[in-house]
Amino acid sequence: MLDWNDRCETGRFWIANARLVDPASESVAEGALRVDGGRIAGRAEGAPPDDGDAVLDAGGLCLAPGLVDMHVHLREPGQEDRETVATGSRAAARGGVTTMACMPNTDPPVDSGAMVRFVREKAAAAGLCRVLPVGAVTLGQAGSQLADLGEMHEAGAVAFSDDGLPVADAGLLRHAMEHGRTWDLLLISHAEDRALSQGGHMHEGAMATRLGLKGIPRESEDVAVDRDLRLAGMTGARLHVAHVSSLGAVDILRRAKAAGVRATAEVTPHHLLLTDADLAGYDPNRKMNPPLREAADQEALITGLLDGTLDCVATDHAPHTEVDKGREFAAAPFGVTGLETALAAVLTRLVATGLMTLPRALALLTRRPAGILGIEAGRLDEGAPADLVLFDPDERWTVRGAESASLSANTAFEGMELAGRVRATFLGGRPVYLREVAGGGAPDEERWHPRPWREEAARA
Amino acid sequence: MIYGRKDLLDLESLDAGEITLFLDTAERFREINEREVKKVPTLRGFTVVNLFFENSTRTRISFELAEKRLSADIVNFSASTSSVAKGETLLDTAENVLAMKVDMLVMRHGASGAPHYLARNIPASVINAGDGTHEHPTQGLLDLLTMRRHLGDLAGRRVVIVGDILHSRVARSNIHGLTKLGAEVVLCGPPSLMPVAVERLGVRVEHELGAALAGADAVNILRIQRERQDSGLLPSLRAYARDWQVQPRHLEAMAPGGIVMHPGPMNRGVEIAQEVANGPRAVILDQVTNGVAVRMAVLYLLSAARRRMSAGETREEALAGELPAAEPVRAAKNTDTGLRAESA
Repeated sequence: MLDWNDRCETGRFWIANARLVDPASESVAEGALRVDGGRIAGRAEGAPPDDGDAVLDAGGLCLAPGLVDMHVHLREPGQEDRETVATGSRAAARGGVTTMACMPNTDPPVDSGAMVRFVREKAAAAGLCRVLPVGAVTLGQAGSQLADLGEMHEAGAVAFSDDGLPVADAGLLRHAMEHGRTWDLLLISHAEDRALSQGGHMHEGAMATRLGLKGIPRESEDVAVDRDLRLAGMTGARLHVAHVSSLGAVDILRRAKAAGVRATAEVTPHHLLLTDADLAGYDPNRKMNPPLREAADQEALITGLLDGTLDCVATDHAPHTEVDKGREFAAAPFGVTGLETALAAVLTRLVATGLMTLPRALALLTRRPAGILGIEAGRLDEGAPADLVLFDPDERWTVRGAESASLSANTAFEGMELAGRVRATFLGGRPVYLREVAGGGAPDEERWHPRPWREEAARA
Repeated sequence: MIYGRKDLLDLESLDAGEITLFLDTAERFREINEREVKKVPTLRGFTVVNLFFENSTRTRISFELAEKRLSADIVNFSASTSSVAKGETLLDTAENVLAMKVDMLVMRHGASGAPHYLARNIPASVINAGDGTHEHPTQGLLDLLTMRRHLGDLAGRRVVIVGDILHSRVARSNIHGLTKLGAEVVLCGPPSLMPVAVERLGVRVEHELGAALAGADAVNILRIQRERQDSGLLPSLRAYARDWQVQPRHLEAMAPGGIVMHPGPMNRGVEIAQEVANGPRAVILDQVTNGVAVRMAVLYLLSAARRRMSAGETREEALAGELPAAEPVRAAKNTDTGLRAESA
């Protein structure tokens, strides 16, 4: 029996016996999906018609649009010991992610058209995931001189951010927003007032007091979110607030949205699953910025997702080597990986608990971020790209950083049991990742099938 | 009763029974320290390394004397944190030391949680001699011993800790030790040097010094460092001294027999007035004396645990053999050899 990879070779096939999870109509239907020429070419209720095309039996598992992760760090160029575009793409495929936006804080930073093209070409060569570079707002992310946003936009940058560093100078950020209006660019804010957070290692609260670690107060986030939203309101720019973690920031966002500011916001899986109480063991793999906050913040984040104040889930996938993370908490760098655990984390935290329906939770990982980025992903409609994820929502598995496809193992969920696991990922109508499906793969056997494409210099 | 853990990392994770065990054992070693020949063979054949990543004179000397009086073989290793930053990781440093077959590490480090990290990753026993702004458990124990010797049972006693609570590992160990033994703890100092949500540790905060000390049985006065002034947390040391220096007039309102403590080194004229430091209530040198006895007790109890376990007894057997049923020692997670690190 041929495996799925061989049977899809013609580019025309059905994925049958699936639960089609459509985040747009928020529906789940048993049926089959037809793929042709890299795009979705229709669907059938029940069994597909016998039209001679190959039929892949999904075995009753869930088929949904591939995930869109609008916040990852791929570390290339300059930090290839942590991750590369290729290894990050492998991790993405394993996590069901078919599109990711990567942040510009590489070494050197992505602050020119040439750098944007460099990352895109690396992604094309890896051939496992669509990669949309985010360009820097300021040259070298140094916060002093505006980068050439137009040139990067032309080269395919999907948004602009100095992520990892806030743009400290409010005047400069205002000018970036004004300048970006020419093309209605999306700015992504890493909202942090460094004067308040400097030297901190974790959330400032009773837990930091117990552990004797300098805290990062909520207010360092709140005042920066407030400032950036006011500037967006003033300039009419589109602003996306990254990794919202504090209850105050959720409130500020809710009010700004009600007042008509063109704002969107994301929350990370780790802020939904963990709190500062989980830092009792000083585990550097649970150190990130913004930090894990308190139960009340987590409740506010979930409320924000339910009422639409927060628009989507993004991982802030931030790989670090074992050497860098393997030191005392205060000396370890901020950041945790997330590409391979996002789906399971969201299903475990939001769906298994009954807080959200499956299609609604999936919208947070697909349609919503696609809408913010303005890309045609996150849909199961006819004509949409056949970027798909097949997953078992009930498969329970224990997260082990050592088993990760990423170059780095710094997951905050080490040892935790999550529900929901990817079986297959399709990119442009071709399987790029297969596990335990079709063709008698041994249990837990995983295969990646890269499909390198030629990246044109011009904007896609 | 026995101590059932591999390490001594903090007082927060101990229970009242374990703390009392350390204090009672220290009383016995205090007697030995009063003898003409202040030496017992208890730790003969044991190797202890004093691994100090931060400068310390008195804590290191106190540990060194304790180790020598117990007949341990000792090595002092001083590594500034900057030399570690140059390349070698903390774990590499420790593993290099351990490769020379060392039984215990006494460790001082500038990063909170560093001894916890090491203890999880190495088989040797780790004694925390101060980690960052987290805890200083042997200082906490010697403060408790000093208070118990002067005040008796600490349950219901009121103890005031004055000064830079935010940056003080001594304060945290005192808070946990005192609250576990039933004492009432009041913290006093400028709001900018008070940790967020510190009340959740079971203490009361009183910013005004006179009010804090009224009726107190003991006051523990923390050292104020000049860098607090430089980092903008305080206008000046002079401004601190005006409102929070403990002066003779403050002591008048203390309970009869109330004592004055200081972990040292003192800045006379800053956090403590000269007359208070030299006054009749001061028990500051008693603290230093008790420090050696407490450290001998810690070394002894940890070495006893190691001996039992390396003799092939499982932790369960060791506990079953020596533990009075009425006072259970909190069982650790690993029950096979007992020598593996506990996951914090």
